Amino acid sequence: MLRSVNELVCRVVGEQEGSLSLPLERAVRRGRLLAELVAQFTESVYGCDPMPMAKLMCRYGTDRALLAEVRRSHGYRRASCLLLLAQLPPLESVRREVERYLEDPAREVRFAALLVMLAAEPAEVFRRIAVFGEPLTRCEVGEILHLLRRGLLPIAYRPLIESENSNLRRLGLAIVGHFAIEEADDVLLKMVGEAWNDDLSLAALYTLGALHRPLQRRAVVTYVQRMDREVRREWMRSMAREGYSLQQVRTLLDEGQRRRYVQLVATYKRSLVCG
Amino acid sequence: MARLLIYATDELLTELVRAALAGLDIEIRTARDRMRFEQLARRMVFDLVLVLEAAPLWCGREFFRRVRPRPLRRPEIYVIARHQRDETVLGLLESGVDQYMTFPLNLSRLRGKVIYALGR
Amino acid sequence: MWLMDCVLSCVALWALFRWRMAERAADRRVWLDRMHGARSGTLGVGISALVTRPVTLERCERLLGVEYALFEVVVVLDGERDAVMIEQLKARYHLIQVEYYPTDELPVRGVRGLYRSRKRRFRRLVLVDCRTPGVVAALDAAAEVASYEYLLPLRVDEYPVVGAVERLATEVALQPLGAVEQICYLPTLYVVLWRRAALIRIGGFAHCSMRVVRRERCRWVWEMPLRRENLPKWHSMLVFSLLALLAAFVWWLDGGSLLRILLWWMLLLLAFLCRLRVRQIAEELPVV
Repeated sequence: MLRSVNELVCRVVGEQEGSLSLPLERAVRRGRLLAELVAQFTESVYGCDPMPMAKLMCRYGTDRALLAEVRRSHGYRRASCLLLLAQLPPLESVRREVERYLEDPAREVRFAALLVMLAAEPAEVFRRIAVFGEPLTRCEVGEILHLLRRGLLPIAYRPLIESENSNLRRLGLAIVGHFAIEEADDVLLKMVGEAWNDDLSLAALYTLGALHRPLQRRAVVTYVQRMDREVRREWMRSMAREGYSLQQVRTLLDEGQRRRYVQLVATYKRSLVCG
Repeated sequence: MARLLIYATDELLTELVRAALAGLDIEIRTARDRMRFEQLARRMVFDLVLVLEAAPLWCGREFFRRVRPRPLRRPEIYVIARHQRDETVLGLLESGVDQYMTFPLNLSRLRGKVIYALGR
Repeated sequence: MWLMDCVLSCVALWALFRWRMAERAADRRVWLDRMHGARSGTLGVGISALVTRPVTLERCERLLGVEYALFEVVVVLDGERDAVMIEQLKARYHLIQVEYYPTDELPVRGVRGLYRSRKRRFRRLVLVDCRTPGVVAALDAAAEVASYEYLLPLRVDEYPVVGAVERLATEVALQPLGAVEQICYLPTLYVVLWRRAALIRIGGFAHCSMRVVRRERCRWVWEMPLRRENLPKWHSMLVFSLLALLAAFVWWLDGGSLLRILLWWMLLLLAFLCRLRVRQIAEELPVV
């Protein structure tokens, strides 16, 4: 099998042409093994032409086998198969078949189908995310970000983060945080200051912290003062972990919280005794 | 002939890297666990070590000292992993890693780096 | 006789149900493993593993070998009883004493020192030197100094299975920020993962036992992400053998038909096979 994987990879990277050896051929009749291999390959490598892999999959009916499995299964199994399909080079047959799972009763299936459609039609990305029925979770945003890192989606964060749609804003925030885009500072601040979406405001605040941006600004002060006690305590720990000194967050905290913050920061440092 | 050691628990990743280096005048050995790694390090001298995960450098075993005893700077150690946080990457570089690359990997670029490292 | 019928039927039904749930949990595990967020560090969910005695260097190495980036290991040792281990840890991981300030968040007493590594690559290890009367006090001391929001208390010789930390982080990230306060293993109602704020609210590990903080903030899982090594393999066989003997004894006492005792044994066999399958699924993944 290892030699066969080698040949598969060599074929994809263009080193040599040749037929696959027998053990893999037996396995690929089931379709699944080839799909898993190709999925791992696309996850681990970029810059390779996906066409040879797509042709290989068509030749061995991998897409048909996987779609049959999607039809037969339900729940998590169906979602797993769809996630696997999302990692494979996009094929027209897959796109047409998967579209109906966007209405599946199970959320995990709907989201997995969305990923397949995003990978198959990069031009429709923003529209599809905007019309996805529920707020995207951090995990789901992370999956979309992964598509982005594979080069399948554009990285334009500004139209996302300034959009009216909360899912697009979540994605924009994730892009800003992941790629450490400091130029988005003004928009992040605006999001923190918005009173109508607490979830996004909190995410924007954490993103500002992750980018080590100045926090002693009116919008942030107002928001932190409105925070729930538990949430604020957690946020303080997070800022201490990020390396913010007391001077950088002084105006955000009251006297008791400042004392506590100094102690938190000190637990990351050694005290130097002079004399 | 140059010698390269690949340390990875994932078989497919090992084969991907091996395939990327096909055709070069290199003897490639692979280790999937610490015992095998130490065995190879005891028996042979390597020119380059590729590690396809970060955890071995975090756990404190220091078993890379077997393949690169202090104060030598050869063989070079390249780590390829999925981590992107500054703290993580700096920690790896601080531990003696010579180059850090992330997945997804460009196989041609890796090949170029290996050729350059072994040519020096 | 009818009591035995009921008992054995319930045993078989429960075993079938557990098997079905285990298969579903395995499917869910495969689905969670396909998510990339944990591997690429985009989830933003940090987990602190809390480790108490006994601690060995090997245990620390294995726990620190978890690939998940936002993970730390907080070890609590007593400087009087474990002085040698503390020195070994300090030497191996270049630990230096940092400042420690007690808080009123958790009922922690007797902390002599807090140690962190001067080397970045070992910053995931935190050592607390604490005079601890027991496991609960040690866990509280560890929870107090943990850096991350989620706490993973580890019992004696317990390790996460491969990928468990990533899956736990993904479970948390599948819900809105702060929505998950506990993750519980349903068959035993054991709380595997705690949100620090929730633990503080109930007053620490001394008050937790199997208490669920808020039902709507608890996630229930059917697959145990933690496991002890060297699980005895004979337990199930012994239990089912004893049940079979008990069934035979009751049948002999009451003088029932052959069909009945065969039915009872078949129910037990079914339950035993389901149990084996559940165990097989649970042991598919090794511990770290």
